[in-house]
Amino acid sequence: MLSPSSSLRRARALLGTMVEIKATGADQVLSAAVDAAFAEIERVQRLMSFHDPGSDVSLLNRFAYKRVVKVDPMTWAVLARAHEIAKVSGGAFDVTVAPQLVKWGLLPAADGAADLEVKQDGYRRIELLEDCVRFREPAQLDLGGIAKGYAVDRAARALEEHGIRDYVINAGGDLRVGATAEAIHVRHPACPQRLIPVGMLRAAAIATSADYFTRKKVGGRRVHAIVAPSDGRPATPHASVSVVAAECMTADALTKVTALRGERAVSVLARFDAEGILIDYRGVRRLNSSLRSTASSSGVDAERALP
Amino acid sequence: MNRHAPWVWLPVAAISTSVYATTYLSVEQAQQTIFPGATFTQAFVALTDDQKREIERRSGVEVSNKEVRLWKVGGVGYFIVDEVIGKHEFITYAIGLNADGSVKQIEIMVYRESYGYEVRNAAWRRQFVGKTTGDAVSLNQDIRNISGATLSSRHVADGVRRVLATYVVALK
Repeated sequence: MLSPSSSLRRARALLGTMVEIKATGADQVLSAAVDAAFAEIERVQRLMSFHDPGSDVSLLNRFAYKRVVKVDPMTWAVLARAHEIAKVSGGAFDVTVAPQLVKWGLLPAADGAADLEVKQDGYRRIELLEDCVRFREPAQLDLGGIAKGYAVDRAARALEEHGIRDYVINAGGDLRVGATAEAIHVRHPACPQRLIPVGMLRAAAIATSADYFTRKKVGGRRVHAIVAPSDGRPATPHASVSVVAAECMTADALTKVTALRGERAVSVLARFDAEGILIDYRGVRRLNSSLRSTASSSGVDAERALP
Repeated sequence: MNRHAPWVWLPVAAISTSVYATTYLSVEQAQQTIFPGATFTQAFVALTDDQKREIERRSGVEVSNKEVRLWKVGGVGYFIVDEVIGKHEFITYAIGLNADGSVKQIEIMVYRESYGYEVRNAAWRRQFVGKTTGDAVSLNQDIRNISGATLSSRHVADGVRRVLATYVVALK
C-alpha cells in the first residue's frame, strides 16, 4: 500500500535571492527532505560566496596566488565544470571577470580586485590540482555565474536521496524540475512583469540571465552582470537568455556563453546537450532545440506576447 | 538534447500579470516549523519614538511599523513576524530567535511581487495590511515557475538586521 503523500512549498532567502522548493512525496519524509535540500544550498553558499570572507572563494582570492589552497570537494567540482565550459566555449565563460563587476559596483570591492586585469582566457590562471587550487597569476575568482545552479543540483540530489521525485527548485530563476512536467515561464526582458511561456519541462533544469535587475549606468554607459572576457564589455542589453540542460550548473554557466555569443553559441550548447532560448526585440528564438513540431505553436504564442 | 527530451508538448497560454502572490506558511505553520511542539504567547509591543530612532541608528534600516508582531516561546526564545517591501516585492517572513537573541531560523511566509505604480500606491499596499494568510491575496497563484531573477534577499537581510536591533533595544 502506498504511504500518504502530500505537497510542501517552502522559501528561504539564500544565494542573494529567494529560493523556493516545492516537493511532493511521502508525508513522513517530506519535511526532512526539504530541510536537507535547503541545508545543501546553505552549504554551497558558505563555500562559494564572494561576499563571505570565510568561503573557499574568498580564501582562494586571498591566498591561492601565494600558495596552494585546499578546497572542499564541492568547490573543486564547480571549478572543474567551470574550467570545462570555459575551454569548450573558447573562454566565453570565465570565472575571473569579477574585477570588472567590482569596478561597476555589481560586486563588493575586495582588496586590489578592481586593479586586476580582465582578459581573454583569464580562467587559465586558475590551476586545479588534486583537491587543491593554485592561481598561476594574480586573479579574482567569482563563482556567481555557476554556483547557484550547482546549489540547485545539490538540493535536487538531497530530495532524490529522500525518495522525492516530484519537485521544483527555483533559486531566482535557476530552476530544476523533477519527474513531473511543469509549465515554465520567462520574464519579458523589456517588461519583466510580463511572462512568456516557454513550455512544459520535465527532469531537467533551466537557467535565465537577463539584465533587468542588474543593469545600471556607469559613466553614461549601460552595464550589467554579463561581461565579455575578451574586452570587459557588457553583453548586448535588453535580452533574455535561457538555457535548458540536464544539470542546473551547466544551464547556469551556458546562459553567459549564449548571452555573449548569441546564435553562434549553438555548437557549445550542442556539446553539453543543452538548448538555448533567446528573447529580444526580434522575438523568441530557440537554439539546438529539441522541440521539433512545437516551434510553430508555443513559439508563435510567445512571440505574440512581445510588443 | 534528444537524450534528455526535457520538453513535454502542451499548449500554454501567454500571461500578462502585474501581481503575483504565493503563501508558503501561515503564522501557526511558521511557528511549528521553527519551534516544533512549543507553546506561543503573543505579546503586544509598540515601539516608542526613542526606540524607533535607536533601532534605525543601530540597523541602518527604517522602521515603518512601530508595532512588533511578537510571540514568546515557552522559555526558549521569541517568534516574530515581519514584513519588508522592496522595489517590486512585498515579503512577509518569520524569524525565530533563541533565548540569547541569536537567529534560530528564518522562513518566508508570503511573497508578493508587482511592478509599476502599485507598489508605491498606499491604497494598494493597505489591502494587505492586517490580512491573515487565510485571506491572502493570491492572484495567478498557479503561475509560479518563473525562470528569471528577483532581488528579494537583500530586503530580507535588511529586515533581519532591523529585527535584531529591535530585540536589543526593546525586548531584551
